[in-house]
Amino acid sequence: MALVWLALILLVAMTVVYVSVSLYFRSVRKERLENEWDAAPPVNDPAARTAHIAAGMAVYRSSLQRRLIALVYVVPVVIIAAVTYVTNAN
Amino acid sequence: MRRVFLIIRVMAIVVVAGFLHYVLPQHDIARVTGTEIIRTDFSGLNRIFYAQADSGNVGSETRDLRLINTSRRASYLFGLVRGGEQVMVYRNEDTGWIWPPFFKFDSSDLQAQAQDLVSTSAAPQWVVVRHYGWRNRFLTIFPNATAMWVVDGPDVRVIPWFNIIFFIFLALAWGFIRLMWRQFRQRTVDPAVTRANETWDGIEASATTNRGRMSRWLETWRRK
Repeated sequence: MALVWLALILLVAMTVVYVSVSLYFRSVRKERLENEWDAAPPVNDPAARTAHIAAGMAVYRSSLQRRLIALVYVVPVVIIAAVTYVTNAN
Repeated sequence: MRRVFLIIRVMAIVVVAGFLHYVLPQHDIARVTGTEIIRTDFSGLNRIFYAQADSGNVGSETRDLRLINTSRRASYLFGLVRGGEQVMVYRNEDTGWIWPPFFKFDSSDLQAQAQDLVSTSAAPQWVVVRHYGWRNRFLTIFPNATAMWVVDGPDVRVIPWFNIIFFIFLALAWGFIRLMWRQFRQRTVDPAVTRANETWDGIEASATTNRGRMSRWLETWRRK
């Protein structure tokens, strides 16, 4: 029963971490794309700017970096398994 | 007013430091002098300093408590002597799955090991006891031993790898949260405030000459 509680608490906590971390990385990526465009705009057209940012974000969505955020679910479980083993192994 | 905030801040630091000191693992060099099992009736005062019943069992008001009696060498915290040579009694309880997260289920094994390591002062067998928690005679609470291993002599220095990694992780996490908060303010809060100001100013401009009161008020909340 305690194990179910642990799983539930971890799931909730790690979901909070996952959502905030992915929002942060997305925001940083978008800011970088905006700054890139604003530093040297190839054409003076707001629609082209929006398209440039949308294209950059599409690349980010399929990137490895975004997928690696899912590690926030994996790492705590691995750490708990390791600590449990080290504590109880004779 | 500033003094009040200072007091609140100091109190918060003391509470957090005390919490970490209670929960993080520490190592003592000790000589096991015996083990015993006592029946324990917890009071409302000291109940929170004990773990729950062994992980496979059901909890009840009263239960037996495994104790490990030792004679302990002087221990240190940040290079300062914290306690001289003295007797120290450890409890030996399962922490189970939840709290504190030591995930200890082998209390019986540890008790058997402790019984095996009992020695006399004439022929001492020194061991390292990893534990968390506090000993307090007035509350009748004991630190919980989580592991024990034999060392050559009483002057061994144990490097607290876990605590080193823990504090590095804590510092990194703190830095990352600050970065995230700054990004959130810069990209989400500030533009929203600016938009709200513009709307408000538009309404106010037609009604009164006292323009930008809202934005000046908001300005007082910004970090200078």
